[in-house]
Amino acid sequence: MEPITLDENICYYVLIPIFIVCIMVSFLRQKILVVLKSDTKVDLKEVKNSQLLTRAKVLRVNADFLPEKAFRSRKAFFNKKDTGAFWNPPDTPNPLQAMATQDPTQVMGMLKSQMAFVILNGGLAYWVHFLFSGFLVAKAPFPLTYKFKFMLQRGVDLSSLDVTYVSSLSWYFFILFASGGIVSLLLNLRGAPQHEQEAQDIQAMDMINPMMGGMAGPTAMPGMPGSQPDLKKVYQQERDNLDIVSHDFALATVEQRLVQKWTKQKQH
Amino acid sequence: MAVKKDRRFFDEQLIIESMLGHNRRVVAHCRNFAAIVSGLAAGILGLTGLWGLLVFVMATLGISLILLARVNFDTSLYFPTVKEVLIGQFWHGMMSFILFWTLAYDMVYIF
Repeated sequence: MEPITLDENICYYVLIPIFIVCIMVSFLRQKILVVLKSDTKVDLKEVKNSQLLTRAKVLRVNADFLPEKAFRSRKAFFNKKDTGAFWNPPDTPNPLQAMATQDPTQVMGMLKSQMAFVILNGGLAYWVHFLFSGFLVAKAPFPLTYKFKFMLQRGVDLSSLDVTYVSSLSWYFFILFASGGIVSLLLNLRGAPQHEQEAQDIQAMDMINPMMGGMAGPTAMPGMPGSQPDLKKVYQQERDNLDIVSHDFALATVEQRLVQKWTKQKQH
Repeated sequence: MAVKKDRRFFDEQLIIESMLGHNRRVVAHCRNFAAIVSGLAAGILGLTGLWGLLVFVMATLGISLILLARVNFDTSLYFPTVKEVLIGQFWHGMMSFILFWTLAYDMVYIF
């Protein structure tokens, strides 16, 4: 097939601008999400409950680093019959009541970040469609099967056109999906991703699904109506988990092993 | 025999999962960077089809080697297995690679 010659101006006025604007808007979205997310209020009771569960989990995972007695006393704090922390779950309000008394700012926060997502991306799609509809802006440098035609040539209906040409709207969607890598590189320009929490947030925000855009952090989750788990059941489960743990003190022979390691190093 | 089993058990226990996750993220970060640079290079050189894929594979393996050299070929401090540095998250940068490959190729050749 005869290759189609595209006007050079399309490169300067369509291809590159769409690319740069897309990257910048993704960048901006991340920053906006961070700003919007920062003002979440937390309920003291909820935090207490979840921290209790976290502590039990940490104890379960690291049990082997504690001496027998220490482990037992910690386990007793959670599991001792009638007085342990897991035997007295606080009353869970029924879901309807919880919804009625729920702090509206949480829902607002989610709504706001979702709005940011919808407005930015929808606006961008509209912008591309409005200004650049009908352009062929790119050509994929690798062969593709015919099925990709509908994906890559949205807005251009030419049945005889080679599949590898990409229309402007599809170019926009492609950048949207593929820009995660470059955006995370830009966000961490000064080196490796530093803070774990931050990186997790970024990964969560990378998801294209607009529903997920709002509730990136785990702190946003309790605000969801209906997601309030039955604490009694959760506590019961965690209690069982703790009971199952077979304790085996890992540091009993630590001195010998250290000496062994040193002698090994000396031999080298 | 018992001692040996013991030791392996301890080695597994002594890994802090969050730190390992951080190391994995750093590797992914490097892969990303390699993918973008190699994508640009492949586009500017005008490679098409399987040649581009070859460049991607070479770049990913190359960055693995550089990472290995950076830690003096001893990954035991950072990862449980060498495999993780060599081919872990191999396809992580694929989308970035394709994006920059297409961009550079189009800017240079089709207009």
